[in-house]
Amino acid sequence: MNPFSVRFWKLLRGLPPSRKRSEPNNVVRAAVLQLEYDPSLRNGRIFADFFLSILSKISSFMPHVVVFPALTDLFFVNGIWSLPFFKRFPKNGLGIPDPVTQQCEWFMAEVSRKMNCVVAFGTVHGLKLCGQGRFIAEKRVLVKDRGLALVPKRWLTNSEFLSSLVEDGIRIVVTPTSGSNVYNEWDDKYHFWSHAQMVGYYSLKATLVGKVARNRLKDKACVCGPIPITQNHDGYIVRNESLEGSAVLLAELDMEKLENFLTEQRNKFNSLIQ
Amino acid sequence: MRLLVGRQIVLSEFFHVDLAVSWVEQPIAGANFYLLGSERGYILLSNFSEETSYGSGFHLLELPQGLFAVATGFMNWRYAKKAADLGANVLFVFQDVSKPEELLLAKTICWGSSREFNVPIVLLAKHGDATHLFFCVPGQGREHSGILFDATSSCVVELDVSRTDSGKTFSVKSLAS
Repeated sequence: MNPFSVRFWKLLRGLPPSRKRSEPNNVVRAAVLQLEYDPSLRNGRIFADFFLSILSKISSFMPHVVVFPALTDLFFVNGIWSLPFFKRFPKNGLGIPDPVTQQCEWFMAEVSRKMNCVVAFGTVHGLKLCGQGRFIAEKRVLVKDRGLALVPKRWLTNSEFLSSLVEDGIRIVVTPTSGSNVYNEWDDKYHFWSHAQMVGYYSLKATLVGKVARNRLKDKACVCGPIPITQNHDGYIVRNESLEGSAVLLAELDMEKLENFLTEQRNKFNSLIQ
Repeated sequence: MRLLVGRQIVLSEFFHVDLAVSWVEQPIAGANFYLLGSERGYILLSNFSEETSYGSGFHLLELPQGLFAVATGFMNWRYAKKAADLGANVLFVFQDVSKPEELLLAKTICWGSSREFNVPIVLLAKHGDATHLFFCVPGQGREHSGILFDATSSCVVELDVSRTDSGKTFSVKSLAS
């Protein structure tokens, strides 16, 4: 076993074992992350402590779905990589060697197996979805008999595409993304919030913030749903209020309420076009 | 074109508008055309003829100022797509809502649809005794939010839609609110 794997095993070993969940069948538990990239994570021990504290929070919630941000492999670079060998491997623009990305993917697959949940995340090679220790190539999976799809941010403003997903049984749309130098509240609402209302699904947005390659990324992670079925009638199940810093958002998604909402919307629209 | 949305609001200075849009029980005057929402759908009246047209659901109306779309009953993003595909200048939506959350949902669907399909949308939502007016024009409004007007009072605007090879542009001037 190589030195990186040893550190990963130590991380994974620190997690509590997977427990049997006992909540009603209509509830899907989701953990959504906002991660701040901090250059101090170059120290392996700090990296391990940071990740373990996050994983412990997630694990105690016993989620069915965990969404990490885009470029999660960025966190693994300085935390685990042995600097003398750094230049021997091909790197992309962000300076993430391919073996680090592979280690990140392997780690996420192990998290999905150990926590018995679906894990969505992004690396420099794109967005990934895994469950029970395996990668899901079609980017769609059933969670408690309800469809979940991994959808990139650029597709979240296409109502026709999103409606076709909902017609195919998708009820949860997960999107690992990253922030930008200038945060625009209206653009954020347009992508994640308004289309959850227009089409009718739960939208889970995990995001990367912090100082990355001379950019100061700002964003807010959130879990959105149709206004009438959210507790405060604001279209958010939970939302991080800060544009910076790390946060773990925990949400219980009531699938029965969503089904009732979709049936009601469908009946109203069909009665008008007949 | 000059557009009045809501009830008659100006007493001292009379505004003559091309199209007045309101609910049937709200008195308005001084327009060339009247588009009125009712419990059963919509009614279109003209100053130039005795003819009245009416309908419910989604319809396209041809006026001297161009094509306009009207949808009654319940807002859906498909109406906005249809209105944009058919080349309508504006989509007018008449909706009766019973709960505040339904009103918020209707406004959100109008706003998101207006931005996605690049078409101005005017929502006239009746909630209790009040009529909520929500006017979205892509790229306009405060911080370019696309929300031009969101209130229960009325407004008069000058709206111009110009079409170029690269798409549509909107110019809006508020005259009274």
